[in-house]
Amino acid sequence: MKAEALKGHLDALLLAVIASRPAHGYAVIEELRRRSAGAFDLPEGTVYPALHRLERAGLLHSSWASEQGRKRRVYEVTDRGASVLKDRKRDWRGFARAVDAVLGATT
Amino acid sequence: MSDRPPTSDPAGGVIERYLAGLGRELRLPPRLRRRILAEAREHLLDARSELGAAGWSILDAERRAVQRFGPSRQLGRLFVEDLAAATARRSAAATTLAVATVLAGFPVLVLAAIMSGGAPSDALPPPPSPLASVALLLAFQFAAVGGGLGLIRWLRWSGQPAIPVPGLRMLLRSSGVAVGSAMVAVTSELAILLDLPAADRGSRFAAALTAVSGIGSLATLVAVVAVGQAAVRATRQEQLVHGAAEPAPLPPDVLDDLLALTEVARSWSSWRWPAAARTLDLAVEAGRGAWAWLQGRWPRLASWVDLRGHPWRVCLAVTLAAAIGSAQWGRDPGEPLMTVALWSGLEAAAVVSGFVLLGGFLGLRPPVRPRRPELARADSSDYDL
Repeated sequence: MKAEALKGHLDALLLAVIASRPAHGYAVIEELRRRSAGAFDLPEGTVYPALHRLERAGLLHSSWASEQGRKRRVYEVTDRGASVLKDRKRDWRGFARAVDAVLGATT
Repeated sequence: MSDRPPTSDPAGGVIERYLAGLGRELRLPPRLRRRILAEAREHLLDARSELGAAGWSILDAERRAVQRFGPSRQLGRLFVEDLAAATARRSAAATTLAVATVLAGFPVLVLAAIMSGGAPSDALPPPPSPLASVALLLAFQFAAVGGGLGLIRWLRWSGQPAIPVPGLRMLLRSSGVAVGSAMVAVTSELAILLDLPAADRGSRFAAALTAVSGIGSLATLVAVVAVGQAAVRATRQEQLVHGAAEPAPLPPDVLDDLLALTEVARSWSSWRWPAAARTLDLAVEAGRGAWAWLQGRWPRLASWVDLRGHPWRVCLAVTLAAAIGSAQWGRDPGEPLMTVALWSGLEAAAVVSGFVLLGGFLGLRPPVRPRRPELARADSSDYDL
């Protein structure tokens, strides 16, 4: 799936991945790919502007951490981020139900 | 590219060259640039290790890691656009606060004048500082118009990761006019304060003016810094876009912004408050219906409020309304007709000169150059990742 298809959803996807456990950028993109069974295969660097934006909005918090002798920027979801994620999930389910209802009716 | 591990000789250096190129694309504050480069380096090293473990040579693993990361120009632009949008939104928030603070001073001054025993119009005392009083009156109105346009554009682009250059330019122009006018307003207030006769300096009016100008100056100063910073970052984004040799879309006018804002509000509320979204839809439909009815019933009257079709007629209508409103406001029964006419004339001149000088600049009237259909307007969906 192209990055185009993720328009408007990337922020929620990143929040969902990081809400499971704090992670650095590489782990986030790997988890995104794993959970989507390879469907969300966007240029890996594009997650960083989104991560920085979410941090600036107060939905993520990040700090440097040492891991196996390497310094990594680890992101975690803030309380506000968790609340926003909850809203986004609710919105998405409502939207998906509506789309399913329409698509289902035409088959 | 196939995922099968190639069999090149080990080499390396690809990642460092890529990072050097990315560093050149990141026209950002040095601290942020260092952080992004450090994160990118760790990411690329992780990818190289993973590919190396899968049997790729170092050189091919580095090439593949860099390819997966994305073109440095595209990434640099994403970061620059993202920061420019965030800074512009922050500057719009600071501007709105500054304008609200400065405008809130007006009723405070009116109240203080009344409590001091004067008429409401004494909030802008003709003597001893007529020039400062006129400047204050005009600055309030310019700040209100600029601040209002800035607020519309801020809300329109809220939640968007990036703002296209024409939209960014209009947002900053609105903020710039609002902040500039707020500066004139607080300077005029200070001038009036300094010109007050010694006997009046202990009055309620003087105390209110001191408080209003002090708080207004502080809020305006914060907004000036924020708008200046946003302008610098917007310029960097503009340089990147021009560097990409893309066709320049036409700047959005205020009607574009209002329609887009309506759509943003409808989309935002559709899943949260369906009732609000339905009400908004009904309001938009009612507005369209009323417009169609007006055009059908009184086409000549409709042309006077058609901003795109007849911007100068709209300007004339607003000027007349402003002049009449000005003649009525704070008028004392015994006030000479000449004074009333003077204030009304000033108000009318301010509206006309504002429209002539700033109408196109702020997107209140269509651009002078002809609209070409092949130049599409900036579409927020192009930036919505």
